[in-house]
Amino acid sequence: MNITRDELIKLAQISYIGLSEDEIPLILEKITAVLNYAEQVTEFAQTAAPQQEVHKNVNIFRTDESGICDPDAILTRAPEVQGHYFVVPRILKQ
Amino acid sequence: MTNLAFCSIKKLKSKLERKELSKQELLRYHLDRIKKYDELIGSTLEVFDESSISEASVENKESALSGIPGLIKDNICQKNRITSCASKMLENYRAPYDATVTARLKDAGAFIIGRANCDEFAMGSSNETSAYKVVRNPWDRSRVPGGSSGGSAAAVAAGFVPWALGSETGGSVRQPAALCGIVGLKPTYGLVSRCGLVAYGSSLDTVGPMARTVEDTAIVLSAIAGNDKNDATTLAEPPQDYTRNLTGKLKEGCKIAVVENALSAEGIQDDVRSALEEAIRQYKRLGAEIKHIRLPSMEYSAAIYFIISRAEAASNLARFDGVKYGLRVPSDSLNEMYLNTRHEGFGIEVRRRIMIGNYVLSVGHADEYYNNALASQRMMRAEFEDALKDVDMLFMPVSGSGAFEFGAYAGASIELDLQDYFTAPANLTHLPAISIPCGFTKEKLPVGFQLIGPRLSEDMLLQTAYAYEQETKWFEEYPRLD
Repeated sequence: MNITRDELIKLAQISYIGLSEDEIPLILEKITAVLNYAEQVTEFAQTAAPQQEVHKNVNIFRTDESGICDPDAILTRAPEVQGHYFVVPRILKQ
Repeated sequence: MTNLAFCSIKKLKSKLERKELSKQELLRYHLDRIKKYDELIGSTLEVFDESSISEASVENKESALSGIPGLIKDNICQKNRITSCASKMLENYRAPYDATVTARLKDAGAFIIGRANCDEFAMGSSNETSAYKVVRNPWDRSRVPGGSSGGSAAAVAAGFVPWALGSETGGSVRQPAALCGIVGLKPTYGLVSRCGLVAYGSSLDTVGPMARTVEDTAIVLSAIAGNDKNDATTLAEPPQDYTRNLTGKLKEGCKIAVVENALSAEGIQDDVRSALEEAIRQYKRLGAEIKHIRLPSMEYSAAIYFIISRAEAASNLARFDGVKYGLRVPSDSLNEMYLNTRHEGFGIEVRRRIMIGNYVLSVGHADEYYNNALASQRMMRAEFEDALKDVDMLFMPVSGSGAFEFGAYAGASIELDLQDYFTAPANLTHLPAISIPCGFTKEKLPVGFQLIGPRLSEDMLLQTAYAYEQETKWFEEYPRLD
């Protein structure tokens, strides 16, 4: 599996990851190496028997109950707030 | 006072009880030692001021940890202290609550004296990805301590503290423990709460104790283990004393299986293999029945682990977006703010892992990578559980070499990632595993082996590790920092 430079840039965009020009070659090479190594799971998974469903991960959910939360303790950790709201840069143009 | 640095928890406790020294004197001793030597090692990101340490802990005369100093890896929350995960992203983030393990240690009267350095967001095997500073191995400061809990391991090995907490996703407690010559335990998934542990790979993450001896490790495990209503993945295990079976003897009819294809794997240095083989002979002398087995799935463990851990990391680290907490890089638009914040806040290894995670989860690649990794993980679980029906535990290497030099695996090679090769199976199968020192390489670098047992067999693993440790007493050797 060789990913192209354009695919890497797209991957960075969907991951909301900024990349600088000088980082691209090394990241591309390393990601390709990891993915190439990881490809061996395909060959191994093909030998899977159906009864191994029992070893599946299952999500464990807790009861959805409201708890006590101190909004101030949360908001004091935010980069920018206004009253009881988080402030983010404008999305729509004026 | 010098031998205080390498005293066991039990010895320190008895000195406190006999009033040979006070808790404050003991604390000051450790703070002074860190002040004197940690410049050479870099194991701590912060050491708290003396008064705030004792104020944060509860008076608990019954507890073995009362007044005993320790360190917590910097991805585990301590209320109103910074929890940076060794990342610029959380450089100024103060946790609004204690992790369950932190609260339990404080309730036990332990003195938590600071934050241990680690790889950024626990992603690494050498502690070189910390955004702040590297950690140096106390046995040879030109070498890494292992990772990602490298600060915890180095601090314990250097005699800065008798115990520390680390965390594991693919071996981050056991590998640095082996490379620094200490004991590290990865508990059964669900035995120890992760509430307040910053998530990396949630289906694999565990918190684990690290100490110079098996008994000290068991003492810390006893304080932190057990069900937690704030972590739905914890098991219904009541609190228990994990030191109770430390008799110096193996359990009756103890059967240990040596995983042959692990021991003969490519890349294991001769002197490491010799130390491992000698440990096996020691178990024979202790009366264990040794079997030799092959576990073919083990050879795929690193590949499975790369995919599952990176996929979960991509999802877990999506929360660091500059909105609710952590770093924000001011930008003109929301999109730019996300990109700039995550570029400046995350180091290159974290960004790389997030991108790999999104790739293996993306439409068109999820079947080939992620779904096949899950199917492979299920096969591995079945194979390990089957093997453990015939024997009590498995014997494996932890690392193929002693500690390596800084930058040894820089560049695009995946050698550094493959440090998880021997350790990831226990995470993928959710089984408990313990890393125990078993000697040194010819360069005088520590070597460790690991025992992997069935679910919730910590008691037996500790008993088996203790019997070996009492015969060999590798813990009596420690690094010289002067």
